[in-house]
Amino acid sequence: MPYSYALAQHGTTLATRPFAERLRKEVVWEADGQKLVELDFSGVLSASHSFADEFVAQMAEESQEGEIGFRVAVTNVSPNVEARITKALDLRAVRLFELA
Amino acid sequence: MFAVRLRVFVEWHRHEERVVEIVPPDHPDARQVFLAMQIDPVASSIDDDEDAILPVTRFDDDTMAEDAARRSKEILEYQLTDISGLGEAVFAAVAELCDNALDHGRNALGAYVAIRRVTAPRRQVSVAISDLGQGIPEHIRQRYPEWSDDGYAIAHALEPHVTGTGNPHRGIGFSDVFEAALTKSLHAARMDIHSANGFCRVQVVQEQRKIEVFPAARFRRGAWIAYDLVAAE
Repeated sequence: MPYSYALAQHGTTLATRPFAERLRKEVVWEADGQKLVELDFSGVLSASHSFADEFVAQMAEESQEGEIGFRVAVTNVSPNVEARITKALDLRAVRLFELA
Repeated sequence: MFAVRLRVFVEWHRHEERVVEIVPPDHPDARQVFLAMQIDPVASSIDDDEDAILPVTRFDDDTMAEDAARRSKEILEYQLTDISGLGEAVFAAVAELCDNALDHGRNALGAYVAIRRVTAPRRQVSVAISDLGQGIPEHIRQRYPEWSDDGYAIAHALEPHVTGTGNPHRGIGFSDVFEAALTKSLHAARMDIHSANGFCRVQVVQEQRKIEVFPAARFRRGAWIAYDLVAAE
């Protein structure tokens, strides 16, 4: 059973790099020892590029480089938010774990 | 932007412990805007002016910036249905530009944001964001000292991956703001950026982006950004 982190607990819109950094550190701390972390975006309507980069792409990069011990996947992401996440991942040339 | 400039002027002088007396305008329409946009931070305000999407709001942490971005999107999409299609574009602009102001414009006064709807001659949303920090040219010259002209330094700062932070993953904010504006709800957008001795104007029309650099009329401390998004008919 993967560890799931619900972003909607922080609101329907997610913005700013410092906020994303705080959440990323929270997830990394809470998911210590897990194999897979699902970032659940259900209920999130918008996310800024800075948030997507600092939260998702940075975490995916740390996972890919072995700095953190779990793989990262996103679930229930709206097309709008997905576009920002995809762009942030592309710019860092990293990928998320794809759930079956 | 005029409301933000007045508010910053007032708060700056009060911060310097000078006495500032403000006489609200006599004209009813001007007085309505003055009160709705909370230009005088200690005066009573009104909240029944639906054109004031976000009155002049001071922010000095990311929670306040996040709140401004969220509120502007919610008001546009749920209350102002004639321009609701611009909600995501305004969200992106407020989120990224406030992020920049907090990151590069740190100052004891914080930074300011205001958003207003304009209904004539065309429906549009006007976003103004300012800070009294180091300014865009000085920030960019930390990495690119050769860009000595302030106007051109601002123009270069709009390009992807150009940032004074040295982080290769930064410097996407401005381009994301303009990309987010490219929706079928947009007729045109214009962003005026004043900082130090530079003045740069970006116009977005039919997915084309035009950047012009002009001589600044005078030195301006910090960064002053006015962003107008005109809705499609």
